[in-house]
Amino acid sequence: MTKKLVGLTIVLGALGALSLFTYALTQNKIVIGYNQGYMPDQPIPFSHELHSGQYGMDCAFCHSSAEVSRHASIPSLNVCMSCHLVVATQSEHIQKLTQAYYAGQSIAWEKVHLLPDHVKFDHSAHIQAGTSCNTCHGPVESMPVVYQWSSLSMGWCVNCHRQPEHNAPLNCTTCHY
Amino acid sequence: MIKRTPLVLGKKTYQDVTNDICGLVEKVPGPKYFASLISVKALFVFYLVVMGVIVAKGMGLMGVNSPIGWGTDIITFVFWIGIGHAGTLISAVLFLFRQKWRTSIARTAEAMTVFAVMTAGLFPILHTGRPWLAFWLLPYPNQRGPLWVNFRSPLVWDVFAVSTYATVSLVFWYIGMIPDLATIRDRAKNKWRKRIYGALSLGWRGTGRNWNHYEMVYMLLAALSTPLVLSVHSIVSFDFAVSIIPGWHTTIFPPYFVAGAIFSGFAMVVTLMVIVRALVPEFKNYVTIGHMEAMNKIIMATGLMVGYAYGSEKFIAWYSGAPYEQYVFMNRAIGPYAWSYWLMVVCNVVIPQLFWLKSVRTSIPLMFVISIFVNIGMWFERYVIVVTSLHRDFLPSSWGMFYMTFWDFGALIGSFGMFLFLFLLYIRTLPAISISEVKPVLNVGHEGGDKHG
Amino acid sequence: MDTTTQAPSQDVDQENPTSSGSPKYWLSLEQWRQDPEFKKLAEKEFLSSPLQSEEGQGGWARREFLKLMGASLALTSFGCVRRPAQKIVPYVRAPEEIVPGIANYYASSWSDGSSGYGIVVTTREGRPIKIEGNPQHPINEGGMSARATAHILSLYDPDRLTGPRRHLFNEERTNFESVSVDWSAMDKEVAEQLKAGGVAVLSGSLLSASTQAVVDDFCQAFSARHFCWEPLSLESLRLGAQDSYGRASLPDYRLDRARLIVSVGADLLGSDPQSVRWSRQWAKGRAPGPDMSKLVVFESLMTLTGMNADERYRIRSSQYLDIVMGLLHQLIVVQERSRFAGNAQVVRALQDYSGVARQMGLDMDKWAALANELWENRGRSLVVASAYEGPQARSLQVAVNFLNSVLDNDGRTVDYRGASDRAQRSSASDLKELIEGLNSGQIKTVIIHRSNPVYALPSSSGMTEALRKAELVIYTGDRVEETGRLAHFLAPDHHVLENWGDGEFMAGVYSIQQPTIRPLYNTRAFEESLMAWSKEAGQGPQRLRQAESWYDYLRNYWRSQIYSPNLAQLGGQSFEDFWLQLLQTGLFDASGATQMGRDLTPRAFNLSALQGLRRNSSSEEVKGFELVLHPTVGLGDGSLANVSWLQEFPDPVTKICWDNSVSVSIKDAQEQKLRQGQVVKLTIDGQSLEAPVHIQPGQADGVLGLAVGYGRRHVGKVADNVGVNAYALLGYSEGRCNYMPSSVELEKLAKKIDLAIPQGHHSMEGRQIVVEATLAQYQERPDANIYRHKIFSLWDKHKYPRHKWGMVVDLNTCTGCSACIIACQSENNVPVVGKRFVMQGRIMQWIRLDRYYVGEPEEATAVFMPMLCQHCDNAPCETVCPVLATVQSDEGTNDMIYNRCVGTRYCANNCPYKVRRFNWFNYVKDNFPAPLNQALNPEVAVRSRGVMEKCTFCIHRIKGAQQQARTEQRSLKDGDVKTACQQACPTKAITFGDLNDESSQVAQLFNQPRSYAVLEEFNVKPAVHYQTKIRNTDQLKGDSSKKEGHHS
Repeated sequence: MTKKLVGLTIVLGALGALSLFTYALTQNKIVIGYNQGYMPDQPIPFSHELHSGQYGMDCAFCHSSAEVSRHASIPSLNVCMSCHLVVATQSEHIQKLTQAYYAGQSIAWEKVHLLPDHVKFDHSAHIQAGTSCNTCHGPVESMPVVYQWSSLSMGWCVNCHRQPEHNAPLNCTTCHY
Repeated sequence: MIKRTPLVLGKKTYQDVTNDICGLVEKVPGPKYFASLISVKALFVFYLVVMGVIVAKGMGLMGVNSPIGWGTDIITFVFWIGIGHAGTLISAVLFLFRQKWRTSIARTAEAMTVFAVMTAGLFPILHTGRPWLAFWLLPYPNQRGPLWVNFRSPLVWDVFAVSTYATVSLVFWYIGMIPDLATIRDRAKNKWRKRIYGALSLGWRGTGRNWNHYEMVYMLLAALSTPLVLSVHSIVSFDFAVSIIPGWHTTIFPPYFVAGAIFSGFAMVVTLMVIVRALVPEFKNYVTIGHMEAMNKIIMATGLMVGYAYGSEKFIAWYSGAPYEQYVFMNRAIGPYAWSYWLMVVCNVVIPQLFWLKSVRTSIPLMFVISIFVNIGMWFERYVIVVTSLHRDFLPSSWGMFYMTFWDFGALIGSFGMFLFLFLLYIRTLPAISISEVKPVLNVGHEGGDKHG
Repeated sequence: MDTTTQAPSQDVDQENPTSSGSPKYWLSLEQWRQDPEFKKLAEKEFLSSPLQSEEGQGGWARREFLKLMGASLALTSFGCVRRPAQKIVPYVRAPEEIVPGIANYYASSWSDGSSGYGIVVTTREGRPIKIEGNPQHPINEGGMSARATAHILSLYDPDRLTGPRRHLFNEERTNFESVSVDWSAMDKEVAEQLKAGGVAVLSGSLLSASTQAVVDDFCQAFSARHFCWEPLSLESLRLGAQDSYGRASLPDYRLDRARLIVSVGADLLGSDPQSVRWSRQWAKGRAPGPDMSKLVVFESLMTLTGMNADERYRIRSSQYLDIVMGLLHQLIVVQERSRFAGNAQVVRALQDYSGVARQMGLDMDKWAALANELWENRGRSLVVASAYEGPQARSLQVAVNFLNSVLDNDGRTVDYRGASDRAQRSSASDLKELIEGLNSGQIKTVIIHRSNPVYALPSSSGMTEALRKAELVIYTGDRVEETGRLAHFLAPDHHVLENWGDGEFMAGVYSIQQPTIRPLYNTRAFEESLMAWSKEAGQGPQRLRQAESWYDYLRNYWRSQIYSPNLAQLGGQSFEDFWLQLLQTGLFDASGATQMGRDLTPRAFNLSALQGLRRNSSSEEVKGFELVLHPTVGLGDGSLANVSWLQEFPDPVTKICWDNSVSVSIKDAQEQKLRQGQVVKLTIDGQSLEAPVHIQPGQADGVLGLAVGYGRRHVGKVADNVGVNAYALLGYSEGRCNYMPSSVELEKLAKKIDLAIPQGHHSMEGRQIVVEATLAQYQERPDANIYRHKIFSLWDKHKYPRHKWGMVVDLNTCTGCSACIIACQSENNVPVVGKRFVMQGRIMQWIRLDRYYVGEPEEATAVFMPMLCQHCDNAPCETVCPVLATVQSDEGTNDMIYNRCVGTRYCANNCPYKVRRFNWFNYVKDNFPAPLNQALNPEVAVRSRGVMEKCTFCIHRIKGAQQQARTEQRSLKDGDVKTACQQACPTKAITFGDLNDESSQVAQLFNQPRSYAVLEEFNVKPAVHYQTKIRNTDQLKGDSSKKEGHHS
């Protein structure tokens, strides 16, 4: 009798585990194969924690085109230099920045949040709808080095769009066209 | 008491039956076998190369274009799936009908089904534009919200139907073979042969319990695969019937395709049996002229059914009064592809009627030629359905022509390479006739043989 | 793994001039610094295409295949796989006007020498990607021609010259060795040679006043002479006006004020340089109603104007003059009408044209009715005739001027002060004197700009030999071209989108042309070259040598010649404000005349001109055929032949692409036993040419047609040796070409060339596709000839809570010019496939402009239908797609999701309209090599191999407009969203909008009685309705009115 019982439990256990895994996968509880947690090191160790956390600088000050355009855009060097002309000029990172600025050479940052080419994400639409930057980018103001906080998987976005209170469009061409 | 034709000739004893059938597996194959195996293997490798290049460079190599989106791939897919159906019919449906004559051809016919489905299964993947993403047709759980498949699309039904058909006929074929594998295991001298066939026969010891379970499982599987004979090709016909293209969306399609499938399936069985009987003379005693004759009768019958379907399509087109339908059937008969239409009608309806004559029904060379014609006719039936309906439909400005390229022929001929390669491997490695089923019918048709049949 | 070529955001840095070695224009910093790491990334990013082009490395890259299969397997395998790292490089000093992701629009103007339009250039991240019409410009009011829209591709053409070159010749100029040279070295040498005198400047018509000023200054500097010549010249219009009214001014037509238009061989709606303008005006008069205009056409070849005519008569091209004089005779002599009725001089001139119509076999009472109708509509009718050079061209224009004067049209529908004085300046005498000057050695140096005489002249003109005698030839084209082969120096001019300039396309309307990108290569503006040479030589007027650059010269010219004279009209506005406002609107209208209803006093016709029109009574029976050399809507004079979009553009009349052909009438083809595509040899006095035959319904018998603009050489991979050069068959005498040579021998050859015709079949087979009705039928019942099917549905409809996008195409004003096809191709990154694949039925354009012939083949006319995705509500493609790659959106559009598509193609099979296109190969990567891929629109995903694509109703424009409305906190209003085809359509036949909004224009048109859906009986409920074509005639030619083809 026990052999049959053991066999039964093994089969049921496997089935249960599989269905649990399927549920978690489809409900985005667990995520496989996305860049969550990707934290590349940057040519200049810019700290969001310092700038936006400690000094309380608003996101839009640097990422200025987020309200009007699809791209949030990385600030051009003249934005950094507007302060670092005088602030902390002795730090070797700032010297690297200043030297690049005057030589007319830009800084090649590592792109952290990378959506596939067939996805067209529109920052301005989300900001218009009242979504805050933290919703998708996480607690950036407490990040010394920026990392991808959320999975940015399709399921993750679709789940958010499905919440009735967001009344966000659910057509496929919202992101794919 | 009507006199039954003997099913096994040559006054065979049980020992003879086992020796004849297992002998084929145990003897080292002669040079003739190896020659045919090598040539078929070359064709199979050519097929893989052709398909590899098409996947690498793009579907554009084949002849399909804008109005005619489907071409050789889908035609050959439906052709091979159709051929498979005779095997299931012989081994499952005739088993339920207690047709004794099925015993000697059931195993090979079922093998043909399995190989035909394998050959056909490649085409739906390789005809897509991006075959490396064809797995999206399966409803697997994913992280895209989840994003399932479109359950209303006949192509998704195809995936379910064909995969079910493949698994069920594989299991049915394998379970039926277990007693014979055990026989080979017991007779095996060489250590490796004993170990392999031993594993394959799942520890069969031929006890009463074994036979009891075997009979019950075989009956169950036969019952399970019987609806498949009708459902799989109906679903394959839904690929066309569900659309709105004139010449496709007629309700006759499901029965018409099933009849056509059985028709071409039996023709392929006849072709293969003639070849096997020629290659292996002892099999002539088991697969007798009576068997071939019975199959030819079925070919003739299903040929008439297919002929009826052609006629009914025309009648419905005329009767419905829809200008597009009428144009398509007029265009099929006298348009630029009329040659393929008349070739189809001659091969499918006219030539099989020769089987009314007993002399034709029982002459091996004639039946071989007719069965080849039937399969040519059936390939062209799908050609006519796919190409002529697509190349001239609603808006005349979008009309176009379809021409087969080298790659189309490569895929078509190559697929035969795959099928025959698998078949030739099977003939020498697995028992081609079911020993356990032939023995009970050994005395059928001989005087006084019925008493304990 | 399919990599799209969307440019990474704001990597363009305008600040850093680059060293001469690396490319001037670069995508990202790494490319500028030629980082090794970037090169590795670049190779990976641009995978060598698996499709080996035919002549390229044959065979298939096995390694490529394994890499492809291996990579995709790896990517889909389990485990967290890191996507390839990407860099993001910000500006150093960000220019304010460029916000990454937002397009900037610049008003500019486009001209190809013979005509010009006001355009708006869309630029993204500093590079132009689309040319659209300027809605405020009076010439095209937003409409565009196919050629103007496709001009963007010639900017990024990889075959363009990247810098000045010098050709080293031996004495006989037979060998050819080209070496690059830098500007300063060239300037020194040229200046030396210029000082030696004997200088000539040859150019096409210069519509730009300031360029003309530079050329005049330059000629004054070196006592040079400015010769003006270009192919397809309409000089006969000026000479005709000179003879008729004493002043050689171009006539400007007002089709919108004409109730009756008679065209004798003039293809106003098709290949005419200003076809956009004439179509626009013609469409205004076509609204079905009591005063709907009527178009009567007499022509030899089948043209767009002929197909849109209400009445069409087939005559030979040599009979054009007989027709006009016949009408005059009928009016003045037979019906004794007009003030010239009794005039002896007139009667004597007309008498030998009596009974001309009967000789030509025209129906006499129709002829009298036409003359009668012309008289009834005097002052509101218009007669135009073919103006291409030919034996009777000048007298034909005089006859037309006389007929227009007789009918009091002069000054009403013929506005003799409206046309620009700079257009059509090409003159035959200039050409003759130039050739003589070169031969006599009097002209030692010739500078050639926007003119390609070696290609566009027959060898009998002696141009090639003359050019070989010149000591110095400078050619300023953007590629070597036929004339450039004989040039010593190539001083490549900037592209129109890289250069300043201006244009006067209508009298008094000055358009500015402003650059939208820094010049891609080391080219220099033609005007700047002239200034540099005069500076180098130290000769020339002050303003020529003092201005630092061509831009300064242009501003000074505008300040002095255009701004100050009109100061009063500008109300004292400062020049800077005037200049900024000019750059913003793109034009300055100093014409003052309200364009709508300007009446001018009719001019006095000089009767003595009629003497020259005596009919050569001995109209001997001409042996052999008449040949008509004509431009096409796609290629025009052939200067844009290397643009792949225009080569693959199905000719609106013949639907042939990638080739020109000899069009033959059906009767001639039967007599000569010719088959479609059979090669024939045409010979005219020694010159012969071989070309395939195209049997053309509706073409006059005894006349052959051959399109010019093909058979180019040294222009680039796309156009070299495509078709045959028809200019070689031109007649030539004393500088004057003959575009209608007669006595042409036609010889049948055994060869056959397959012509690429994407349209499968040319008749409607009695099906209700394009519905035609006569004006009477329409007035009796607005939905005349439309058969409404009874359809019902078991299922309830899709819900469209917000918008329901729909479109209405008015077939009555669609002339079939196909400008929408190129606009859609430019907007949506639609690839080009090449002749071989077009023949296999794999053309990719999202709009298929179906042309169906109606009526008996000889007398056939045609109807047009732009067929695009109908965005059905019950879309048959959606139910059959297995992977949900095409789905119904809740805004009425049928969305095609490229990245989800697996490529089973069932949707294309199930579409009754067959409007879906499949990417059989990686077309964009193979046929759009860098830098052509700069012309791709970053808003629209570029499709990889194995993916279906179709019209998306410009979904990216809908998204953009919705986002714009949200940013401005307002709801979307009608007209916010304009699809690319609607925007480019010259006659505004396409209306797009939200069907849920009752007040929108499309909602009103959608349910008008005249609107119907194609294939309505299949209950697919298309979101595109078509409106019936109304013919202003009493009897339809088509069979669509016959009922038997229809079921009950």
